Amino acid sequence: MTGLEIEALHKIYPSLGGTPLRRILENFHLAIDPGTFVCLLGPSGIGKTTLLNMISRLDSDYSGQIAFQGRPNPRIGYVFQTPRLLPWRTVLQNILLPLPLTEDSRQTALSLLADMGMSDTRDVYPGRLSLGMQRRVALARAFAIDPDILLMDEPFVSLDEATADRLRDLLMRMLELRPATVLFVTHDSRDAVRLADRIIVLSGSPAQIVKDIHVGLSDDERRDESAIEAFRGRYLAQSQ
Amino acid sequence: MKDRQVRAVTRFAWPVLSIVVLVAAWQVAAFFSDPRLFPGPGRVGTTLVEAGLDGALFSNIGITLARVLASFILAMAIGTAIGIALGRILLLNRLFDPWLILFLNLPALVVIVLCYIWLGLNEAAAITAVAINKIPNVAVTLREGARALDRDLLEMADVYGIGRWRTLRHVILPQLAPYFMGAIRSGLALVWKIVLVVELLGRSSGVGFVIGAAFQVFDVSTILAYALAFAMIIQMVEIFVFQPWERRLNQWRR
Repeated sequence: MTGLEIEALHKIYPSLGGTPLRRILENFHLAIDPGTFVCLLGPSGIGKTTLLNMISRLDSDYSGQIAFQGRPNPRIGYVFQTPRLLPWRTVLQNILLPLPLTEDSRQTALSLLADMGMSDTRDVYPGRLSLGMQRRVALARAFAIDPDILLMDEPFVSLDEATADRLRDLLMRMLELRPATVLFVTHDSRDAVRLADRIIVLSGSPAQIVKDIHVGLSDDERRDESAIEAFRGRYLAQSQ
Repeated sequence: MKDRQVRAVTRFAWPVLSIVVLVAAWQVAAFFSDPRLFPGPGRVGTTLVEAGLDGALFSNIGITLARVLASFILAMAIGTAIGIALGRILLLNRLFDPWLILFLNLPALVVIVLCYIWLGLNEAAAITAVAINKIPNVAVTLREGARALDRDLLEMADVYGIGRWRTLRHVILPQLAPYFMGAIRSGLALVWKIVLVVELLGRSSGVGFVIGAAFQVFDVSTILAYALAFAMIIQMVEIFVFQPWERRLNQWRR
């Protein structure tokens, strides 16, 4: 497992076609311990996805640096806001995509599918699956590379509450089996309280950390709606 | 099972009926015409069988098919490479777009004649001339495809570090497949028509040459026999090669 330290001095989006220049991050500092589940909480458009793209090296157009502890080049699994599966490849082929072409990889993928209760969909094309199932496949693909760091960008939006709940449970179970440092972006504080060890609340433009909350709830409390509401009321009241 | 048989029958019944009507109309029209200028299906059929028995039909069609295949593969390969480059790299597109439009509108005859003058009356000139005629069409079609590539999927491939070759094979080419099929379809029809002209102007074998020779003696029956035979073969390629291939490529679609 890998910790990381983000030191973003400047991240801007230049003005394009009439939109004003946007300053996303300025002198932004965040250090994350190995194995922590961190939720980045804040309204849409504040720069949470940008931060994940910077960590995943999709976006290198910023000044500052992101340092990883433990491994200089950690394996990074990214679960995007949309599943981003290849529609012309089956579920199994999609999960195998980032893996080397070996029998071991195949076994890894198959056991992942079994752990997620999706063995019967291995030869199905993603277009024939519900959104909830597609999200599971995207999650399986991220876990397939045995990630040191798992980036998740609102992975449970546009799902009905029951499906989202099952996916949250699945995520926690998968993390017990395959621990990783998690950065989970959401605008839903309920998601954050249920899942995170630590909640970072972002606000403003450029984005600032306005709260940094340690969540010490037990597993049972996290399943208890009233305990979650109480926690939200105590710590997150003004932010929503 | 029975359902499938019924469907298979109707699938073949309509084209067969359509062809029968066409042949019948041809027969009626020929009945009122000078048989030398417009022979009926019977005479053209006889000519076809004679040319077949004689071997000339197959050797000439074989030669023409080989030329079609060679120039087609050449045009698809070069056109695809150019199209993808222009679709992905803005600077290249700005620089070469006017060239593409020029070549797109250059008459086939001009290209053919110039190739024969510059390269000589040989096979290389013939195949080059056909390929140059086809390349701009392929490039334009594939450029559209390359422009429409899904950025989200490319980012995914990037994040997971799957490498250039896998990205090409699993992410880019499947997205280009419909454009590629489009270029192949319109391409085959265009290429075989141009190959005939090339043969007429500067080759002493192939369907185009035979039709040219028949034109000298007003042998309409031979002209129709060769044209029909070749059109039929192209149709076979469409049904037995392209359609199954396309079905395979599209099986993931709902």
